[in-house]
Amino acid sequence: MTTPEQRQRAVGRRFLSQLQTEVEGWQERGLLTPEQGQAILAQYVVISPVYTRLIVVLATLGALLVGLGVILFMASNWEGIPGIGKLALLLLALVTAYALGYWLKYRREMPRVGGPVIFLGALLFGAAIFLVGQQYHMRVDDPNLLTWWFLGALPLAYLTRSRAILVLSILAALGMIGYRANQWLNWANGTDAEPLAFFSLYLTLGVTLYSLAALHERRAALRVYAQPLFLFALLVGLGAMYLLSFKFWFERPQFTGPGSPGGTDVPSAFLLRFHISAAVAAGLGMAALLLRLRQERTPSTLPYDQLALFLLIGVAYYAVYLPVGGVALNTIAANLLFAGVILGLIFLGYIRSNELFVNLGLAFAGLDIVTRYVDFGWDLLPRSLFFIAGGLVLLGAGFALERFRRRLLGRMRAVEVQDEQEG
Amino acid sequence: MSKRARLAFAAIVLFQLLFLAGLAAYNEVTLRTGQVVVLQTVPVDPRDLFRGDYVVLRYEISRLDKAAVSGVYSVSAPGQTAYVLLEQQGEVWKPRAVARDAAAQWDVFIKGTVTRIGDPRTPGAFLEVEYGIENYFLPEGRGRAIETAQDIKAEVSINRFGDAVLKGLIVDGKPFTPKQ
Repeated sequence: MTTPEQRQRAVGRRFLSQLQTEVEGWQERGLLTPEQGQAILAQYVVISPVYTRLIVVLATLGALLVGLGVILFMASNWEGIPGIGKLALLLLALVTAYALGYWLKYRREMPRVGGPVIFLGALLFGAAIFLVGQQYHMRVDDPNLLTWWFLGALPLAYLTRSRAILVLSILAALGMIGYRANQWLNWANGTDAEPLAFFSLYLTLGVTLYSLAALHERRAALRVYAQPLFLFALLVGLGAMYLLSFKFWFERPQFTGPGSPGGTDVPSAFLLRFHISAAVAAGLGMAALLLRLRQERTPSTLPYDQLALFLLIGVAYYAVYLPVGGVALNTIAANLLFAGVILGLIFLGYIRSNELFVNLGLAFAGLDIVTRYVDFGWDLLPRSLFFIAGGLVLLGAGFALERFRRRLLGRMRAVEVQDEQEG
Repeated sequence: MSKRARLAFAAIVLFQLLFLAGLAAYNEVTLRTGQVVVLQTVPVDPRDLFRGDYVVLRYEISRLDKAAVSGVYSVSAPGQTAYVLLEQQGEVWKPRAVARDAAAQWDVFIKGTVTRIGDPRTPGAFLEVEYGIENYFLPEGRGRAIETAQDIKAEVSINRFGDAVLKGLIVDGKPFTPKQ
């Protein structure tokens, strides 16, 4: 029987080539004998990145399918199973997923298969909360259900170093806050949920996630979570800014901030939570800023982004409290700001060699171009011309953005290779 | 994985299991030992009533009018918890008073969250309250009987803290059985 020590660990080609160079260096310095060097290298086997990704994709798909199957089975047979049986089945499914995932990931050292099975356990936990809630006719839109899911899954994400479970937890948290925010806004005296206030809250959430990502990036043990946090920060923050860039929100007659005369105030239940969210965003932003300033400062690592986050918190306050200056001015300001943030993000991605920033920045740039074309062209141009010109704009913008993206990423990679060679 | 991490993993899994068991147990105990009351539902928009596998319910006690219920002004902001004193009138239980905290002498009361407050300056001042019993789940295809019903009442079990669990429906005077 093979023991874990005898089993070879699958690693990337880059890691093994670096290790080989190191081992040769140690042998030259007499720290290792050639036999010991060989024994160290024999612990590892190169696995193609494509193959690695395929395993993860297949195992994750498998976990999702099994999860979906279990949920569907439970839901469709729910009435036929007696009360205690339902609970026992749910708990059994949960324990089985976690035990199998643990065994595969840590005992058999198959993290690419075991990780998705533990992820399945986190999925089943959420499904079980909803199924138990359904059994007792709890409200389907009760945000507590998502809160419990978030609280149960988040520690698991950190303990098992699972980015997938982190993503699941973030989704549960964002969904829960969305439900809650809708309630807080609907609790006004007879007014609809106020979109400007809603988007502003999400803008502060985007800022919070960005600062969390920046803090994670600074610590080696947490770096693995930085990328998904950045992804959600940008999707939430830029998504909120994109929605804020539409003219009709500023035209709504019912919108008035707490200080404005003659209209309905933004509900105090919402404002209280908005202040808390903004304070958390500012606090984390300040922590990330101070940490960055303490570390090595080069033109590429200066915290331009952390400073910009404070400006965005200010923008969120402006949208909730003081939409003064008229519809046109607010719309132009919101659009200029959105364009500025996109350009800043692309620039930041370029100088920091961060492909995610560049790709997302360009994706939002494309979205902005198309949206503004539709906004302005729909009324001004005849329909046929609108579609022909629109098609040409889309083709042209798509071509230009893709060419720009490729050139930028190519240049970034060339700089990386050069740095490696010089290093 | 270190021994500490292994223990932490086991603790998280145990927490999840206990949480699910606790959630079920709390509701089950309320169902079995709580005071059962019958609440009158009021019609909702038929487009809103049936949503696939659950029914949206609205109750007489969802809206508390100043003229019929005392203490409506004791609640000042949406989002606050409110306790509603119930009193039996024939088969159905009606709201008698509302307060931020349940009074010691109150016998049967239900806990809810205030969602809307009508303008207190007008004679028609009111409170709207949600109790967490506004959805009733049922098997696919069984919603039709409820959609065409003339009268729907709900049997609700309430524990001593005012937490309520929906026990069943009485449709046109007959207990509704979800299975069939």
